[in-house]
Amino acid sequence: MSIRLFTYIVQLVIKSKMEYKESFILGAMGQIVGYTANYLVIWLLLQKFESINGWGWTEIAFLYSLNLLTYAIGASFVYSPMIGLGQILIDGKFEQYITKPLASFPYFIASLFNIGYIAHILISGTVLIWSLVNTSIDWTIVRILYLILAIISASFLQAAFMVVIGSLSFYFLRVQYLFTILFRVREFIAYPISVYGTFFQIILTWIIPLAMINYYPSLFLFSHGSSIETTLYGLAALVVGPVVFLLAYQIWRRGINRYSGAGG
Amino acid sequence: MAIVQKAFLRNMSYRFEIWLRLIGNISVVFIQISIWSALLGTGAIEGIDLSTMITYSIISTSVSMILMYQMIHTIDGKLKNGDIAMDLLKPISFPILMFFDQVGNICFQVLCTLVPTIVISSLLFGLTFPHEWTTLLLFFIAILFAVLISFFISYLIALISFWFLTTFALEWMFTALITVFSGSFLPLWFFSKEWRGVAEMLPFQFLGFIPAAIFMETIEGMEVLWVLVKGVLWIITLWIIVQLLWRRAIRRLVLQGG
Repeated sequence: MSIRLFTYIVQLVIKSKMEYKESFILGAMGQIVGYTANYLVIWLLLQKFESINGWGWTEIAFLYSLNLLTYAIGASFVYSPMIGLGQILIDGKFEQYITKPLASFPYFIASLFNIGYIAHILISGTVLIWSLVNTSIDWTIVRILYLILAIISASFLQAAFMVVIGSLSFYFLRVQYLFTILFRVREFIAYPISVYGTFFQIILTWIIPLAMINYYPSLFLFSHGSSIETTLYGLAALVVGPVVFLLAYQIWRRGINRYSGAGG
Repeated sequence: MAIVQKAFLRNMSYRFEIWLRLIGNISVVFIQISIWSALLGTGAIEGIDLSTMITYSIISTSVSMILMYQMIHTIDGKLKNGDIAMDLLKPISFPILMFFDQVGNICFQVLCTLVPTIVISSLLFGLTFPHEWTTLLLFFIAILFAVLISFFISYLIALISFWFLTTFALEWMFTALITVFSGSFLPLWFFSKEWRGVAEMLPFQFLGFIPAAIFMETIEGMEVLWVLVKGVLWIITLWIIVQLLWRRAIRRLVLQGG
């Protein structure tokens, strides 16, 4: 499927959502207030304690925003299709996505694109930019380029986790609860992972590489003790997203093969 | 045999969910404790050390598990699809019906997630129990208050949304207030003076901070009494507001021929 067709479908989906403008704006405002509260709690905490493991308020705000922003970007594309897949399969409505002469995966996620994450993006983007202006980083071209690539990679990574869980619907149908768990686990990276023991740091880096979303890119940018290690992890964060996403896509394809095989 | 197997598998998948939920809760406690350990180390700030915060985290997280937020969707759904008409015909008042329906849910939560979470996390992290057993009595009263206040707040959200036709935004806003002012992660001790003042004027502190603080015996003597009086006043206030809105909602429902 061409990118043009993909964006065209997405535009149509957005237009149809925008018909209920009032409730949409009200909802977005609610979400912004909701996330402001989360920021507020961290701010209140750091008013008292000044820093967590050497991370001050602006740095934590950056860390938190990077997670939220990339989640929102990833989720805009894949959250609704992936959490809805089980029900779509039960209702027998999945056929419509695989019987068209279009690549099923992009068609499926484009037609369930969710514009509702715009509020997440607004609030996290605003705080992200605010925190960038207020840190002492000197913004070279390389750093700016790094940040943009890191955001893209992390968005893929966030989406990949959801695609993996969604693909399990082909086997178990009911996977909603796994999404709740994913959100709980994602809470780990709301703070610098150095607060957890070595064991959890290894898991969050190598097994479930959530730390690649925000922790290592932040380390790279803020150069907390700029070492070869920080640089390597920082660069790894740029490739891990697309790579894991491709792996997730393979799992998706296996699932879909199983589905169309059994359905006959 | 096939039926037995099906039932068994259904139960198994449910059990799987309970386990996952448990892991989720314990990881919330673990994250909080890790942060407090990074912040406090072996020292103490304003007389509060790590072991205090461990107990606080376990208790406040546990309390938040048994609150009645689910009900927002139940009532909202009933108001919108008209099921409420059936409930209104029943010989028991709707709010009471809803309350006991929720109590059933809570009993399930207590057995399947609350008790295991407390047991496992106290084994993992260590829980400091109260010195006096009267504290436990006060703690249970505080829990009752938390449950009642969460009941009325959820009811209020569902009722207000009856006019706005969407719960979504309201729920987010109330969640925001609860996140900050319940103190369920950041206790009110660590708030700055102005913020603490605001928190103490709101009912949300009863949803996390008050039960935990009572459990830890940091609120004592006459202060407990004052706090409990405040809780009762909040319950009565919320009850009156809900009652008024409820009457109006019903009238509107009847007028619309709902």
